Amino acid sequence: MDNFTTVSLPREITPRDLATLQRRCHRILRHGDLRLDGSAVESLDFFGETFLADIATAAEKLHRRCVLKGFAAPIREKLSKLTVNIVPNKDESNKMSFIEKLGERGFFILDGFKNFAYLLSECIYWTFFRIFDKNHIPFHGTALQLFRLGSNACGIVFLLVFLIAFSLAFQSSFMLNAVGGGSYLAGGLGFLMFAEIGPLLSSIILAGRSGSSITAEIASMTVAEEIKALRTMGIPPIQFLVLPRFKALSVAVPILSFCSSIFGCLAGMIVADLVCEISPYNYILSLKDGITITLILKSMVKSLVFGWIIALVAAQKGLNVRGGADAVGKATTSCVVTSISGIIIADAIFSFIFY
Amino acid sequence: MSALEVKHLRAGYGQKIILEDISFTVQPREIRMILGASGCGKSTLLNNILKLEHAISGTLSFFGEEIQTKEPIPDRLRRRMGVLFQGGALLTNLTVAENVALPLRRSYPKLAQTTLDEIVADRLEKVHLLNAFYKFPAELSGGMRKRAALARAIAFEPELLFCDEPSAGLDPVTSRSLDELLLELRDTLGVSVVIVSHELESIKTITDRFIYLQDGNILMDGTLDEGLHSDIPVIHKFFAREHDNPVVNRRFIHFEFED
Repeated sequence: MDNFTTVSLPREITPRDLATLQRRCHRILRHGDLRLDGSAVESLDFFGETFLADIATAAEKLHRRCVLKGFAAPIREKLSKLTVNIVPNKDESNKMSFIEKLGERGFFILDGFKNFAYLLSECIYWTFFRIFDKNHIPFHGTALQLFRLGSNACGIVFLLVFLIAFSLAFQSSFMLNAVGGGSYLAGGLGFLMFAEIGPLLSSIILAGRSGSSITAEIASMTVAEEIKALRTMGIPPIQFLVLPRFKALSVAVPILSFCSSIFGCLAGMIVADLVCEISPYNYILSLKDGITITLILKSMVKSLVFGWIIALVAAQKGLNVRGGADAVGKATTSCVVTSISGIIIADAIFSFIFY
Repeated sequence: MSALEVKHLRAGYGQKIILEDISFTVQPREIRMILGASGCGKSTLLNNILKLEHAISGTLSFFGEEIQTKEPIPDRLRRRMGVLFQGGALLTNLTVAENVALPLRRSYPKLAQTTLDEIVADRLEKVHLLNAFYKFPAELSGGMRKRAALARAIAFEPELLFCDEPSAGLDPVTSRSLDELLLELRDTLGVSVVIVSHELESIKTITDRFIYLQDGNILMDGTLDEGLHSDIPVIHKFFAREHDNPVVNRRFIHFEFED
């Protein structure tokens, strides 16, 4: 018995019809033979030819029959000479196994550490040991970067730290009041702000804001061959691009961290006044219990290291970018993720060392 | 004494060897083209000469001074060279004048601003771009950007100038004017020029000698005239603007007709 399913083709096969027709014909071929009725077809363009070639190939692969019926003589003649391009096979000779991929990733991470260590040593050398060197590149200076990366970030850093400290103080004040320890709010919050929240939050915000901008800028320069141009002019990119940013963040992060910690304490003062009924005067006096000079110094050291992590990770990601605009985006994302992870790991180590 | 001598240069990326054994010289006031099909290693050769990448082996001599594979080019030699990159590679956050002044500031940090401005103005005048003194690269057209980059490349009045695809992306008129500018600089500054290009019009206009790279080696080292009359099929096709017909890889479709 005839196992054919007939599909009538429209007058003209347009790209819009193509997908539906293809799906329908493929479905039929999976279960039986196909008859394409082309009595209505008036003309056959590239899309029509591609469709018929695709169906004929699919039928051949599935060992089914695909029969054309009712096509006009000129179209039949055209189809009898039809050839299609052979799509080249994907070259998979360079395809890596899982172990190879893992190894490559390992080397990539190792390279990252190596580059980070190299950048750190260069920056420390030029910042601390060659501070009076006359060959220091004076332009594109630290002051400009300090303004761009530090001053411009003040608003957002202070606002976010203030709000987070406010909500922290607000929530903990109820618990403290319940156990009669409302008076400890100032000391506790003060300690927390300087020891943890201030440095950590401001660094994380700066990693997202300033770190990403450093990577994007340097990566764009790398892609546009500007870094190569600097090297051919005898200008070391590390001194010209990385060093000013390194110095700027070395100054900006501790200052921002200190100021944001104060803003956090101010948020606590408002909560203390409203919820715990502690006057601002008493709150400031109580702050002394939690905040010491040593704590502030420790906070500064932490922030300095966080600043270095942001600057060096951002610069490293920017300098090592390969490719085009897509690579710039990936480098920027990678910079934010790596520097925030680095900051949190460093923070954990500091907690172990300091407290 | 040659301006540049490349001896048995071998270079590549990782395991992949791009340049097998490259040797050639560039004489003073000579315009030397590096030619070849796309992907043959022209830019790799330039990067290796400029020490932007480290070659596996071979030596380079600039103005008679030999430099080993792993050694950087000393500053005193760098000042005798200039590089024009394909896209110009101007620093976008600096004005044209600041860009041109960049290498000068690096080498002479104590130079007074007025002197610096005078030198910059002179270089910009040489490339007919004095009116772009205070403009930023983004405000310039493609051709103007190339000329600004050329002004930066000649900041030290170099004796050796490297140009990577100077005509790429330019219309024929702008490309022609850039070629004329390079010839003018050769005549006025006496500079030797090494150009990576495959713009035939440019090649015919300004080349003194050329090397043609194929499969990591030099297929031909000769004058423009020798190239134009070469019997080597690849060279002949290159200058005659012929190309091989691509291999047609097609499949015949068999249809079964009813009735």
